[in-house]
Amino acid sequence: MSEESQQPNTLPGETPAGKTAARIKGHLTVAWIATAFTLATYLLLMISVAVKPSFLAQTIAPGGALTLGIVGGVLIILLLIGVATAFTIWNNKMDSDA
Amino acid sequence: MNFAAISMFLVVVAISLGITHWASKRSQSRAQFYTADGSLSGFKNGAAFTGEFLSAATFLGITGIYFTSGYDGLIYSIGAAMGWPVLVFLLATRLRTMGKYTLTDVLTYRLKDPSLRIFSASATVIILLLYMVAQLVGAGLLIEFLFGLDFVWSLTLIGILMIIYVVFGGMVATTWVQIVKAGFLWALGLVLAIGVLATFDFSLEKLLTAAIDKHPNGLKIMESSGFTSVGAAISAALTQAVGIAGLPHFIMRFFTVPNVREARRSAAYATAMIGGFYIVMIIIGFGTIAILNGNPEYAVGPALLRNGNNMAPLYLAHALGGDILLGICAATVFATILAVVSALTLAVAAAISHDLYGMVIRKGEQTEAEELKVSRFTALAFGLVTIVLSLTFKNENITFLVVTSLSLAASSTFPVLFLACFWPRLTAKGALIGGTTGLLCAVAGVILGPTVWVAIFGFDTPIFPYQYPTIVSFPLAMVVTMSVSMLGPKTGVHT
Repeated sequence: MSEESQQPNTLPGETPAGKTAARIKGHLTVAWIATAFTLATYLLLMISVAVKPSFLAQTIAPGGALTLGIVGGVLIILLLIGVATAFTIWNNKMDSDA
Repeated sequence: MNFAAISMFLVVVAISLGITHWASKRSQSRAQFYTADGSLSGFKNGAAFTGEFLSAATFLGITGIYFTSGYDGLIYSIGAAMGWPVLVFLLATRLRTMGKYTLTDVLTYRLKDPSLRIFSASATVIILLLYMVAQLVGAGLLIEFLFGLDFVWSLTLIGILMIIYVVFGGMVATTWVQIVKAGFLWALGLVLAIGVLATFDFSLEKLLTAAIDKHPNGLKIMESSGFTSVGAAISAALTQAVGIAGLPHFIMRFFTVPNVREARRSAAYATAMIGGFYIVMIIIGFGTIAILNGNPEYAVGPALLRNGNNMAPLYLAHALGGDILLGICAATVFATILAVVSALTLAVAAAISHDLYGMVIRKGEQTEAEELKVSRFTALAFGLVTIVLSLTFKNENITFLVVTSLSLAASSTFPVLFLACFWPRLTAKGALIGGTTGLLCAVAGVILGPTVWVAIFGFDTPIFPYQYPTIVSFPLAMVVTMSVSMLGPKTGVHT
C-alpha cells in the first residue's frame, strides 16, 4: 500500500522519475506503432475479403492455381513474426541498458 | 475400434498422466499450483503458450474450415495469429508489473474495490465455459470415433481424466503437458504437410489444382465466403485482435516466468511457433480437400465428412499413414484437449476459490489448504456443467465456438484490463459497470445471433445479424467504462 501511495497519478510499471519516464514513454510509442501496423494489415485483408472476395482469388501466374490471397496471407503471418521478434529483441535490449 | 490406433493413443495418454503424477509431487504450495512458481524460461513458456493456443479447436476446427470452404481456413488462421500483437507489444510488459496470479489480481491491484473481483470472476467463468465447451466437443467426437463409444460416454471419460489432471497436477503439470504437446503437434503438422506434398509430387500448383477439381465449389474455394458484409468482417477482425488478450487463462501465463524480459520473449516465441504452424496448415488444409473428397471411406457427400468436418485432419492422417498415423494424430489431439481443458478448469478454479471464496467471502483469512479444497471442488463442478453443455453444441464447428467465446472476452475482460493498463482515469465503478454492460451485450448478441438463435433454437433468421457481436459490444464496453469513470470524482489512479 505504502509503495503505491508514494506514486500518485502513475500507472503501475511506470516510475515518475523524469529520464526513466521519458524512456518508457518512448517504448510505448514504438509498441503502439507496431500494434497499429500489424493490425492494419489484418484489417485491410478482412475488408478486402468482405468487399470483393474475388480480388484475392486472382492467380499469381496466368493458368496457375496459386492465388494472391494465399501468398499475401503467408506474407502477413511472416510480417507479424518478424515485427514481434524485432520488437522483443529491441525492447529487452533497451531494458538491460536502463 | 482399431487396435494400432488405440494402442498409440493409450501410450500418449499414459505419458501425459505420468507427467501429471511427476508434477503433482512438485506442486505443494499455492503459488506452484496456480503459476508454476514463476520458474519457467521464456522459451518453455512460449511453447506452453503455443500448446495452449493451438488447441483442438485450432487443429480440428481450422482444418475443418479449410475442408468445408477452402480459403476461409487461412483467413481464420491469420485472425487467430492477430491476437498476438496486443499481447506482445502492449500487454506483456504491463501485465508483469501488476498482480499475482489472475486477471482479478491485476484489476484489484489498480482499483482497490472488492466488487471488481465478483465481476472478473463471473466474466472468467462465462467466457471459459464456452471456450471449454468447444474443446470438449472436439474431444468427444474424437473418442466417439476412435473407440466407437457413445458421445455421452466419451465426454464422461474425458471429464474424469480432466479432473484427475487438474486436481492432482495444477499449473506445473498443465504447463509441461502443453510444452510436450506443442512439440508433438508441430511434428505431426510437418509429417502431414510433407505427406500431402509428396502425394502431389511436391508441387503446390498440383495440390491446389487437385483441390479445386475435387471440391464441389470448384474455383470458389480460393475465395473467402464467410464474411458477407464489411460489418461482419470487421466484427470478426476485432474479436480476434483483442479477444485473446482478454482470456483469463492466457493472462495467467504471463506469471509463470520469472521477469518481464522472459514474459516478452515467451510471447514472441509463441507468435513465431503459432504463426509458423498456420503456414504449415495451409498445405494440410488444401490437402484434406484434394485427398478426402470423393473417397467413400471418409466422405459421405460433397464436402461433407463422416462424423462432421471437424474430423478432417484425423482422416487425412489415416489416408496418408494408415492406422498408426491416425493413432498418433488422435492421441496428440486428445493430449491437446486434455491439457487445454485442464488449464481452463484451473483458471476457473482460481477465479472462484482465490477471488470469490478467498478474497470476497473469507476476506483473505482462508488457509491455503481451504482455498485448494474449494479450488478442487470447483474444478469438479465446472467439469460437469461443461460436459452437459457440450452435448448441445455437438454439431457446431469448434473454431466458431472458440471465436464466439473470444467475442465475450473482447467485450468484457479485455476493455477493463486494457484501460487498467493504459488509462490513468479508470475508476472501479467505471470498470464494473462498463465490463458488465459489455459482457451482457455480447452474451445477448451471441444468443440472438446465428450461432444460438438459428443453429440451436432453430429459428429461421437471427435477430442480431452477425456471428460475433464484438463490433457493437466492444465499443459499448469502452464507452460506458470511460464515461462512468469520467463522471465520477477525479481521484487519480488509485481510488
